[in-house]
Amino acid sequence: MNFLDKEYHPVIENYIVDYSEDNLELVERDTFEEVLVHDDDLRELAFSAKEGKRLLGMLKEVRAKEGFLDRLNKRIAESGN
Amino acid sequence: MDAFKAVSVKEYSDEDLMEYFQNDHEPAFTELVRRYQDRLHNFLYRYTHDHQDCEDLVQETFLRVHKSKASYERIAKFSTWMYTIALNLAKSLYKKKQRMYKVSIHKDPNDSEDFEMHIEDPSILPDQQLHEKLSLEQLEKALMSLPEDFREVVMLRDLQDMTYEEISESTGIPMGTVKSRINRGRAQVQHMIESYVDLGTSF
Repeated sequence: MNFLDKEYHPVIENYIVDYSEDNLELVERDTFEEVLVHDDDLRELAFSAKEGKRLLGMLKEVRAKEGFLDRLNKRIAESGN
Repeated sequence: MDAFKAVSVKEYSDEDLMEYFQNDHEPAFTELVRRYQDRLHNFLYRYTHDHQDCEDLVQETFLRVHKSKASYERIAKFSTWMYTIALNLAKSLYKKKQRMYKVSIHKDPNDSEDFEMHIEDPSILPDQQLHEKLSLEQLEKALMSLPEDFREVVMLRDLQDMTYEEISESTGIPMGTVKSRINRGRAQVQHMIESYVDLGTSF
C-alpha cells in the first residue's frame, strides 16, 4: 500500500480529514475532488480514509446498541419511576 | 388476561406486552425495547440524519414509554402510540436545533414547500446490507490490527468522539501528526475490511 507511505503537506492532510468527515463546503469539496483526479495515491488515501471512517462509524453504532438496554435501565432507575 | 409467561414473551402482541408491563411485568417492557429499538432508530434517522441524536431520542422515547405506561390505553396500537411520542421528541429536537443554527438542510415538517434533498451514492451499500455482509468481529479485528500509534488516535476520534485538539493534548502528539495518522489508520481499516469481504464498493 504505497499510498500510505507518502507524506503530504498538513493542509492536504486537513482536507483529507474534512473530506472523510463531510465537513467541506460544496465548492471546497469539488475543488478537492478535482485535485484527487490528478493524484492516484492521494485519491486512494482520501477515498479509503472516507470509507474507513464510515465503517468505524458503524462499529461505534453497533457498540452503542450493545449497551443500549443497560443505559436505558440506568436512566429509568435514576428517573425514580 | 392470562398470567404472564416469560417463556412466551416473543409470542405476545405489542398490546399484550404493554398490558403486562402495566401490570408490572418488566420483561414485557424489555421485549418491546428489543422489538422496536432498531425500527425506531431507522424511523428517527429520517428526521435527524444523525445517529447520535437518534440514539438519544430512542432512549428518551423508551424512557417516556416507561414513565407514561399508565396513560396507554389499548384502544390504540402500541406502535402508533410510541411512534407519536418519538415523533414529538424529534420535532422538539428539530426546533431546538433550528434555534441554534440559522441554516439547516433538513426538511421543515411545518413547511409544506420545504423539500428534503436525497443524494444517493450507488457505490455505497445501505447499512443494513453491510451489516449482513460484515461482522462486528471483522471490523474490530481490523481496528486491532492497526499499528498502536494509529489505533490509539483512530479510537479516540472515531469511537470516543474526542476533538483533534483533545487528542493532541491527551497524547502529546502534534495536531498534524494526529490527523495524518487518523487518515492512514482509517484507510488501512478500509483496506483490511475490503480484503475480508467483497463489499461491492468501487473507487
